[in-house]
Amino acid sequence: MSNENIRLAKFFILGVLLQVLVFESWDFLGYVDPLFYIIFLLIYKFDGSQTQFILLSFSLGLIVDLLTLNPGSNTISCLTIGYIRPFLINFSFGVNADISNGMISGTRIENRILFAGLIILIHHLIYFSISYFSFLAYLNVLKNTILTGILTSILITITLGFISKR
Amino acid sequence: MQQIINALLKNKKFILFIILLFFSLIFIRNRSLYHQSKFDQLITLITGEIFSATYSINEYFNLKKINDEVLLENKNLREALINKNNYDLNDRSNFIFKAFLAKIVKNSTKSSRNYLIINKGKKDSIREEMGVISSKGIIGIVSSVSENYSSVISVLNRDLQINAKFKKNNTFGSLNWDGVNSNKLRLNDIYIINDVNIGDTIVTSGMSAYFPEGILIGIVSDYKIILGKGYYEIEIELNNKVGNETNVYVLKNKFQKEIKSLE
Repeated sequence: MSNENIRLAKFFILGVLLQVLVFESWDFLGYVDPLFYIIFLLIYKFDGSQTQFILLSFSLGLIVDLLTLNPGSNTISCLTIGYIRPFLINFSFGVNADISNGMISGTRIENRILFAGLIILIHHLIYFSISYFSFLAYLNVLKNTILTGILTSILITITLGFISKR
Repeated sequence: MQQIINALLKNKKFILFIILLFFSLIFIRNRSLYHQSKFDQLITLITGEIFSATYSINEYFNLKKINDEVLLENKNLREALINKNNYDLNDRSNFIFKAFLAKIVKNSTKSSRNYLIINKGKKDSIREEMGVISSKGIIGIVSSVSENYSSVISVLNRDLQINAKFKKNNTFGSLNWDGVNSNKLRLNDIYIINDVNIGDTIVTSGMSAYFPEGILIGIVSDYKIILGKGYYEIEIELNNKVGNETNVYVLKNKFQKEIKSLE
């Protein structure tokens, strides 16, 4: 297994463990729990096989759902991100979309912010839409998407900052 | 064939995504009762819309037959009205059961767990667990309700048990379908000390909140004693053909919540 794959495997496992053991019961402001594990969906290599990535995203969501007793919102949101990620990479990075570790080095910071923002926004929107599963709860969906999204973004920015420096 | 395989290979990521999404939806439906009821509502709504369109075409060609049925039922009701002198039929607030008219837009008798869809829903005050009858007998119990349609567990569903009794002596038992013949139900839990004859009338017992007492179900068409158990195995021939029904009444029991809270 190459160093790159080992590093990704570590992020997969650490993301799940931190999510399940720490962030799931964080209850910031009483009810906001960041969805930190999606850092894996951000840092996964840009030029990897998409089929493999769809399966990995699905497994990631499924494992988190099973361990946090969630009905299945994480699975569906991660799976959707797994499928649309190449479009988001092309949209956010343009000509630099082929840089393998584009999320960590070699690309402009604005592109990375746009990419991370889109992934977090879409993921959280799907996650809360599935959780509430009702048109009447759209205000709750939006409120939770924004609050949780901000918290997730802060945690992921700090973590990515550390990785970039190393 | 080669072209189909090529097309599949070309879209393999999308197909993988759809397969996994389908799996996720089944996963979420099985793990959460809330999502299960939402999915059921959605499915009832979609199938209701589809079958409602087909129904309105069929309805046009069946108008004469339906008209005859309505006329006949009106005649029977009028007879009942004339004969019930001691009951104040003008004061409807005393009625325990309120009836809502509905039409079956989708009916099935082919599976062992049959459901049907009626064209009345939440908007028309239909709620879950209301009994459904026709002019000739019982149809089922409402299982899920969307805005305009409701799904009904048919009496021809192996999971449904209905309290029933002999009209002649009030011996009661539970009625269910064995999933084989769509005209025959099985009446269980009748002790052999009771007198059973072919042709005996079976009606609802009124011991559940779903149906009032005395709604005609059918007649005994066959019976045998289960050796060593002390019970009869009684076969009931339904008075109505569930698969042919179109007009039904959904029954609302005024005291259903109260009865449920005590059960």
